Amino acid sequence: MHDAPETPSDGAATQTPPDVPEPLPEGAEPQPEGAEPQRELAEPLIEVQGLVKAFGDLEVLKGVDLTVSRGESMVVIGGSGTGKSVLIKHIIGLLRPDAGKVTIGGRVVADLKRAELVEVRRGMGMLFQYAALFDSMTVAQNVSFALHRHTKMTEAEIADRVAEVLAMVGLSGAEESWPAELSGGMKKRAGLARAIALGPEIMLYDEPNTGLDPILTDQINDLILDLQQRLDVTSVTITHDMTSAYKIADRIAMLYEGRIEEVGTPEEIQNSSNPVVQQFIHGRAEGPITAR
Amino acid sequence: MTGIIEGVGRFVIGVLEEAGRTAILLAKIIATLRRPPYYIHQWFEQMLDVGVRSLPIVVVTAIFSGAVFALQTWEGFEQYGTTSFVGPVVALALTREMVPVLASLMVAGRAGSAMAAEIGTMVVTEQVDALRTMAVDPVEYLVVPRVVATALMLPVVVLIGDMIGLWGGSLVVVNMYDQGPRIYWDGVWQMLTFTDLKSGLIKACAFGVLIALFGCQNGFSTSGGAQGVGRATTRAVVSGSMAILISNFFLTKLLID
Repeated sequence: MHDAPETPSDGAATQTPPDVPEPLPEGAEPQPEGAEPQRELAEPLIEVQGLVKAFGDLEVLKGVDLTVSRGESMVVIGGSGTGKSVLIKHIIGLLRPDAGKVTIGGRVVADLKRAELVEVRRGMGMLFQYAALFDSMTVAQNVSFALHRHTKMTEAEIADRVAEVLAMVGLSGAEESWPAELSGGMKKRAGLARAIALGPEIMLYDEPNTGLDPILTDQINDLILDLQQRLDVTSVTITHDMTSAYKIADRIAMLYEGRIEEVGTPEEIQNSSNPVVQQFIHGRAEGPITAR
Repeated sequence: MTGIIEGVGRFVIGVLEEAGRTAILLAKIIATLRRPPYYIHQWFEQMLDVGVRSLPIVVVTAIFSGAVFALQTWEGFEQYGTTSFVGPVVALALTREMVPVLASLMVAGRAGSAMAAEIGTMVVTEQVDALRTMAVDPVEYLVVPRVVATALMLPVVVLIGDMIGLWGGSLVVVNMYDQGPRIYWDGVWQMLTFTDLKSGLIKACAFGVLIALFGCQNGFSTSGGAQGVGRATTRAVVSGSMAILISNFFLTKLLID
């Protein structure tokens, strides 16, 4: 039971994401495209193997392979409609794969029994693209929602925890506000506070900067980095904003045509010779990626 | 011609799909009811919404249904000099059929549509996914309270509607046609048995389950934005109302047998 919501990841390797891309070690060989670079990382926590998913005739994921190590910040980039959100929804078990599997800490998500899935999800937090706050509840009720259901904390302890996580995201005093009264950035912060309330080991961010101005975008990025350092979480972020990707990623994976096109550190991605990657990261209209 | 056949085929497939989805949801509800957690606070909130807040429209429906039925019955019975039977006939018609069916149709329009709209909006804004990510089963949290509340509160609302409807009938008979109130009410109480009331209340309970089932199921199958929510709401009212009218025949047959 998660009696204490502030539980950090047990035994997690501390790997804080750098603000600037790490340079390649001297003499290091560039990795072949599509292959993950050989880095010394902690044990794998999230493993996606041969993930295939179709909706009707539309095959969105055609065999995605991706490994995220404990404590790592992985950013998945890719164009609109390439299945980034579909991938993240498989990780948390909101979708079932047609083929392939996702494992969390060695456990296959799709094979988990109800109680096991509940246990796994309690160790995960997710920030949705538009925050997905419950609009019939105040900010405090949103943030305390999981605490009421999954802990034996008293009302006073829950109120303290709500105040604590709201302070962490810079929303102190917003307890009694309604989602409709919040700006886009505040909604994202409230959604983030709700996601971290139980002290997750894994954080999933689905387009955390969508709809935000550049300053708010950077504030959210700082918040993600700050939480990464403070809570020592493993995170997977979906974005197509390269500035954010370079800032928050330990590694970046590019999803293209239903597969992972390339994985590497921000610098490796920036220096990639793959024309698909180059076109995407520089936002060029001309190149192998065509408009969908 | 091909177009007509295609249209009919699509309609039949659509009906079967919805029936299948609703049956699956019902099975999930039954499975969920057998194990905790029970969100009792949600149950009471829904009971307040479906029961107490539906009372005004049910009261208006019942009072005018009773009045109109008394009016029509009086006109017919007067020709045969049997106006003393107006009270008993109004009582039987209201408690067995009119109030349970009409009140349920009104609640389907009010509460069933609200369920579809609320859940549908939660689906398209990813609030239902957010529930799942927080390890809360949407069926447990959203559907079971609505089904339980509607099944429990609709009989209560119908019982109140029965009484109000009878009073509506008396307004016509006593005030418009000057029949002694004692004749009307004696006739009502002599004819009305617990079985008559029970029959209407059993139906109301079953209709309550159907209203909530179709409301929630259509909410969950919402796709798209505001237009999708609108479609889901319409479907919830139409399919819920059809389910009430069709099941009423079979329930009546079952209860008579």
